[in-house]
Amino acid sequence: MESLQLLLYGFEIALQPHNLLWAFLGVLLGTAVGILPGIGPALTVALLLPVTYGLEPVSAFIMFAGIYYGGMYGGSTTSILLNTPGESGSIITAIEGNKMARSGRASAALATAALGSFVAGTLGTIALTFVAPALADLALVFGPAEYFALIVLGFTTIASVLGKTPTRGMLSLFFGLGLGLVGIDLQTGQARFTLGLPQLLDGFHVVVVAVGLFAVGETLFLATRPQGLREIIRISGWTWMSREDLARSWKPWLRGTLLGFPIGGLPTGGTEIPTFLSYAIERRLSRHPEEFGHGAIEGVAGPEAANNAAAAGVLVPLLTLGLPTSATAAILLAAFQQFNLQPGPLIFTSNPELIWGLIASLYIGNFMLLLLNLPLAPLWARLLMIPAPLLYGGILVFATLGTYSLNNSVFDVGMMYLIGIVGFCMRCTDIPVAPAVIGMILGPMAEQQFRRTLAISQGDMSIFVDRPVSASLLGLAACVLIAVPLAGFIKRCRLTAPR
Amino acid sequence: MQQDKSVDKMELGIASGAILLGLFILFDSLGIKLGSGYDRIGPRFFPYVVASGLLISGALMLVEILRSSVVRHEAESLNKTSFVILLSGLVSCLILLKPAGFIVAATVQFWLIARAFSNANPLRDAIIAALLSISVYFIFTSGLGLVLPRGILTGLI
Repeated sequence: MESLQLLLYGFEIALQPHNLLWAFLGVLLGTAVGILPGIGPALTVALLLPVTYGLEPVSAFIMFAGIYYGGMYGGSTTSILLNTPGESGSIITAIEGNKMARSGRASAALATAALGSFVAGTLGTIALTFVAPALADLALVFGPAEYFALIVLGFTTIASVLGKTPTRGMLSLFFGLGLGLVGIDLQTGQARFTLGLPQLLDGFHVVVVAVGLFAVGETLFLATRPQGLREIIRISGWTWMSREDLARSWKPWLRGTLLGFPIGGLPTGGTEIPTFLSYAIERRLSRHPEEFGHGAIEGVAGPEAANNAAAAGVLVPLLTLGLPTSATAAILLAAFQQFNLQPGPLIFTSNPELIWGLIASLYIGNFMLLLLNLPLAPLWARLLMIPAPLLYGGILVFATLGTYSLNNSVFDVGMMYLIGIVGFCMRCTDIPVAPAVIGMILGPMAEQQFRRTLAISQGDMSIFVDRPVSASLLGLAACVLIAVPLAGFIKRCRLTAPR
Repeated sequence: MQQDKSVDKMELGIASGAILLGLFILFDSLGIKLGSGYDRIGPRFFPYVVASGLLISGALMLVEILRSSVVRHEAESLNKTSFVILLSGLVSCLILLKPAGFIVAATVQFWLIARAFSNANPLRDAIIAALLSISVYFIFTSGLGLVLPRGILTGLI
């Protein structure tokens, strides 16, 4: 198999001592930052972006691989011990895992999360190894019409799945699309919506928007809430689980992986759907359904595995099509662009050492994370003890540093703060911020592909339905648009129906 | 009930903000020059789509807010003092970053933001703020090659 040879080549690169060191540093920093309450994987990657500026691209991406997976591991520890999910993918872990921890089973919850993440992460990475090159070949025949249809499909699912109501997800998405409009129009070369400010000619950087929405918005939100004491569950010693726990965990791990990778890998992406699905399935299949909601180990094992497998899956459209389908992936894309690299089908042939080094280090990073997390969990948990004033003071200093160092511009920092205030209002009103981040990245791509398509067809809109791939993708998008409000309507009818 | 209203006000604000943003994009689009004849879909088309999206979702959210009769289960009150202190932490950093340098700006920002959360240990927080800012400065400039403003400490570091 060609993939295997290329993977071996990747390992050759990733196992070089200095690259191993970067991978280790990546998982270490990723776990440490990801564990901090209120910091999800997206913010972890965004805050650690400046650390890699001085590195050569291959080492930088090996480090990113570690940060990405490390942030996921760290997030699950926080969810279990503190019940503060850093992102929507670990909401379930927070529900079920925290209940387990409260009833004295923190160690088993952490162990099943870590082992499940390892199993799912490794299987997901194996799948990525073989699916990505195949999809990259396929993607070479994709024209602008297909790209546009893919992005539209992504928009519909992202907006309708996230958030309390589809309206709020949609509002967030269009806000992001609006931010994405700012800057020079690539086709005609004129400035749009820059308010005459030269600093806005290049548009908003995704890090400015993501750090503002996630870090500043969250800090403002927490600072203005009543300061209750957070209950942290203490643990000591190695985290491990009993034979019985293992027996109850391994099937959910595998099922979670099977759900997570394909759904995460779809252009509609995301980690929410697979974790929720996995929870529902485990609940149905479990021999202890009564434990669900009170700390069932299957309810941690399955969703955690699904979350990590989906994280590997998200890398498929990112690497092969250049399409980010989660907020974290949008920031990873920005990281590529920072090094003047454009992920997509061509990068597999133009920068094989980078892509395969990155994929190989995903395996290595996953293994390192297992070693770091099982014995050292109590040590990591101590990071949760950092008092809130110091924690958020530190987060904002790093947010400022990261934003400033993008272009050495105070203007960017100001914009980041402004967007943060918007993020605060969104947080207060239950509007999800992730669609805004994804929208501002995908919006300009969608516009460009749309206009390119119509330039090719000389203005004939029927090109989108004449091409089978784009027609079916757009058809799917229409289905999502109709199905989600319909499902909500049916649910409401059932709730209000007379009993 | 008082607090419920304040959250509702914010929801109304967000919804009308989206509508205003949509209107702004709509009107500002009129100033965009249309491209040549080859460009069938001009540079105004997408802004129109985004503007209508904002107008529609803003309007839908307004309807949602006005129609919802659900009483919020969690009465949350905004701590205005914390909000103002935190904002001052942000603004002071913007003002200080270039003239006073990263170390001073970050120390002030860290300290002010800590104040927004708790006023318990001002001295401890100040010491930690300074130590963190100094070590971050040196790790990122000497260690990782970033350029951060030196400001008033130019001669010293």
